[in-house]
Amino acid sequence: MSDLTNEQINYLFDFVKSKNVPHLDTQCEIVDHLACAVEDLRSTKSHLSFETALEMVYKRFPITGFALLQLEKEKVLKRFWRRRFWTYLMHFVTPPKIILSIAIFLLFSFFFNSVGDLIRLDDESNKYIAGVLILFFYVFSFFFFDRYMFYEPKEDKSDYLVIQTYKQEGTIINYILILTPLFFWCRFSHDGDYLIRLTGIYNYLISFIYTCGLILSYCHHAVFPKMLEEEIELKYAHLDIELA
Amino acid sequence: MNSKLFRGSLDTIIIKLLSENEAMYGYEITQKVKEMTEEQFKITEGALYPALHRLEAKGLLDTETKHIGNRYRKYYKLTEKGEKEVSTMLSDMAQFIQGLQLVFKTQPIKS
Repeated sequence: MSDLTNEQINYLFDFVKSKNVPHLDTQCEIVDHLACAVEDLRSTKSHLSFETALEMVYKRFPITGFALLQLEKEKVLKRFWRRRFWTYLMHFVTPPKIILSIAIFLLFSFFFNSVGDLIRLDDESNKYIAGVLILFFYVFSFFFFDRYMFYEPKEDKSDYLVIQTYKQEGTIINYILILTPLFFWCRFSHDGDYLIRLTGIYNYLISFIYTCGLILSYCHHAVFPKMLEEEIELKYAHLDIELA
Repeated sequence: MNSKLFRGSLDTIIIKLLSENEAMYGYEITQKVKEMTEEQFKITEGALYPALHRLEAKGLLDTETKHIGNRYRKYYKLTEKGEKEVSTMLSDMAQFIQGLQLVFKTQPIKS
């Protein structure tokens, strides 16, 4: 079996890219398969040119080319990230972290109870206070966002499916975080002081939502990016991915 | 042979092969199956990789990438969960084959 030259391997990368496979991690897997198949074919039929052998090998793939392969790989990675995020988050409802979760919940509950009594809607200016608080929450959240959520490959660099799927799964958490302050706004956006008071069941509900929001925010900022870094170091070290 | 006939057994075939070999790469699996079945079974690339990825998603397979010559190669191997699954999958397959033999009144293949 004759090994392919560097030029031929590069040709294979260009070929795979031209068949709508934009991610380098997926390209590597397909290129190795094509290279093995081409080498094998040419070892038995030495008269075949590299290009003809490649054409013959590509015909073995379905009519959709590499699309199905990509789709399955994407599904696998999305499932992988979902499972990892979920497994970590579930720690907050099991001992000993559940104590921390309850403490946060009680703090929020106490805070909303106090705020509910202090801020009254009959004073118009309180709506602005609520607005400023929400704006502050968004600015605060922005700095605590997952730093890889905005990752974009540099112009001369390839894209990676492992990062794309990480971002896609993380986006769901982004939406939850963006929606959380709106629950606070609900408290102040109604006419009449006591239409929705932050007491009783409503207080518990909003405290629960804020507790989840805070835990998600912490994971999103401090834990999940490390998961991505570890995964890249463990399985994608060969690709020399620049995350920064 | 009609490839649709063995498509449902592809996962078991892969698991069986990997239980006998520590780690294998995609092309190696296709060639091994071809060789073992005297070219009766030909796993197409379009079926193999989705199956490998599916098994990986189920947590039955793990991957490792190695630098081979001027390219990278991804090896698949069984996880602990995958190793535990082997006997269940093989006994399910044996039962399925027995059932088929009864339906089609064929003789079991003597090894």
